[in-house]
Amino acid sequence: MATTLTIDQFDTITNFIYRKTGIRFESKKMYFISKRLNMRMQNLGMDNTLDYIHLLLYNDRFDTEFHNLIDLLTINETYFFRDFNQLQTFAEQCLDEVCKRKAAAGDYKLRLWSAACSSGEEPYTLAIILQEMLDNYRHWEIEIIASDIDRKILNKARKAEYNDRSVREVPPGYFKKYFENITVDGKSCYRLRNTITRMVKFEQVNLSSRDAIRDHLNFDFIFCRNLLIYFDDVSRKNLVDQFYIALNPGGYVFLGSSESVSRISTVFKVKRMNNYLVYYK
Amino acid sequence: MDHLLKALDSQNEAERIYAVQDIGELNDAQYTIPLINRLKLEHSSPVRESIVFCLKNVDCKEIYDDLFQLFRSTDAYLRNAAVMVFGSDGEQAVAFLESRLDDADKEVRKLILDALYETKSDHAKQAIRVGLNDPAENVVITAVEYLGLLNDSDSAEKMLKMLQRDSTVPMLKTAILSAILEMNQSDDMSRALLLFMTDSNIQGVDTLYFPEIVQLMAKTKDKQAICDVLYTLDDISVYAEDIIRAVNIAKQRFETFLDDNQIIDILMSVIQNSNIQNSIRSNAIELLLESSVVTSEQFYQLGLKIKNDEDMIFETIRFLELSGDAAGIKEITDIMNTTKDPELRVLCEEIVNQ
Repeated sequence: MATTLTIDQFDTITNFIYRKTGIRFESKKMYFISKRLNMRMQNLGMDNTLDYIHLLLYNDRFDTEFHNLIDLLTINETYFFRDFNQLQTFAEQCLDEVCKRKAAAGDYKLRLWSAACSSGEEPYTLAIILQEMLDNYRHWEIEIIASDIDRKILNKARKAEYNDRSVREVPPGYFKKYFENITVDGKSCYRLRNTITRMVKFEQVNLSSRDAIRDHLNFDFIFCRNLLIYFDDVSRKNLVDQFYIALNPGGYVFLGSSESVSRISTVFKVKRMNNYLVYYK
Repeated sequence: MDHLLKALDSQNEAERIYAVQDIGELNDAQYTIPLINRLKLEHSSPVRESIVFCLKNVDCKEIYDDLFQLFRSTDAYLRNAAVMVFGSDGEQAVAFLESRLDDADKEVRKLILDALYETKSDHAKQAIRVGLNDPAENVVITAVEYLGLLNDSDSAEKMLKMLQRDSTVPMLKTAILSAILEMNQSDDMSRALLLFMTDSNIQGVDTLYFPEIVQLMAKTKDKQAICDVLYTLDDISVYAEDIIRAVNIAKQRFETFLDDNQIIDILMSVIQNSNIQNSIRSNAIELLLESSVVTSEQFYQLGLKIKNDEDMIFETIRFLELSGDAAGIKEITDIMNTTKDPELRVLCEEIVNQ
């Protein structure tokens, strides 16, 4: 039988998750969290929410249950134009501001880092946005670095072939312009055109390794969405510190929209753009 | 190691950050000294933050005197950093902090209490109790707050005596009432309540104390008395959180509390009031769902009433699902097809496909 969460229990669990990961769950997600908690409790044969909370907070020595819960709570599916509102703020506000500033100084280089690129949807999305939003796009020297720890997923990213689910949020005009229909192993899928794929350079990088990340510098934008929750405190802090060092002055860092940069580090400035909080150097 | 210490003084901010990270990796207490010395001079926020983060992860007893001096700093960041670093050392720091509680500066004494609390140590309670006798009001209030949070019922008697005195300022009275509530001892709560009201009429009580009095009522009085008090609270927007908290407490004491029609009315008023914080409305919903007298049709109608409130969309889904109605499933399907929120879409899919 499903048990309900009280507001105090909801606060206890979400504060705990926030302290450990920086992810904030708003109160409107109470039902969503309640359902997922019930799934974990059922799995463990528990019927008392307080017992489960006690397990999570005090008896989960290796964070095993914590990770099981986080896996259920975080929707890790990647697809083009994921988190549209955040990308819209990037495209219409942040990009415009940075480009105007750089152009005024005669600097036409733009560097972006998609730090946990997985199968490539994020960096390719950024490439599409740049092509669509930049005035005199060809005057700019653009470099998008896309990194991931997983070599196999990087190979998949380089192929740039995607199924229906990955492309479902691509605006129709962009879809027609940047994707072509192909058949792979008898199945219909979509390949990105060269005009986009050649903008992205893929690299294998272990973001937990201090040495591996220290040579990544001079970026105008860094995206690292929905990854930091899986890091321990020290690795997370080191990585966010590196993001700070790696950004050019006035550059922006984007985590997942429910992740809080300021929970991890207070060195970034924050402002509201388009009703959205953005973090910059 | 020399190269790291040299890098700590580099002109380049990034090099200083890297030096701190690499020193932190060594996890050696002897390096806390160069780190705290750097912290005192450092102007860069990122470097300061890295140093504090590092100190919080290593044994700092070598630098307790230096940390304590930071309590006197005019820089709030450094004062707070010292609190957190002491706190992170846990039990080990308690004796040192306790020995400094006779400091002449009341702000320093308050910070010592902050640090004691942050140690999360059992022995910290005894040290914090000393704060109840402090001549400075802010220190006493801080001690009361922390003792309540630490559930130190041994200090309740002293707190109740303070509550009885006319000379006790309202802020301290409020802190004591909150602490008594935290400690949750029935006799202490009843005694505290008697000092403010001898019957169930809350109207004679200073509104400043309403939130705490309502909670004390919910924890100690009978069902009817609790309902009477909740109804006499005129402005539901102002007291919504306290009302809901009281209902939560009372329903654990009285099995049929949530079946009372007047309580149902209160809950529905809270749910539909968009001036009330969403988390409180959500909790009211949770309570309503526990009632056995609310009908499917009422759930459906409630779902439709809050449907256009974006912040209540997840709750809308819930009500529509509970209505068990084909019309409810249709509404959910419509939401599923139009939403851009991945969590909402997954939830709708699960319901529609059941």
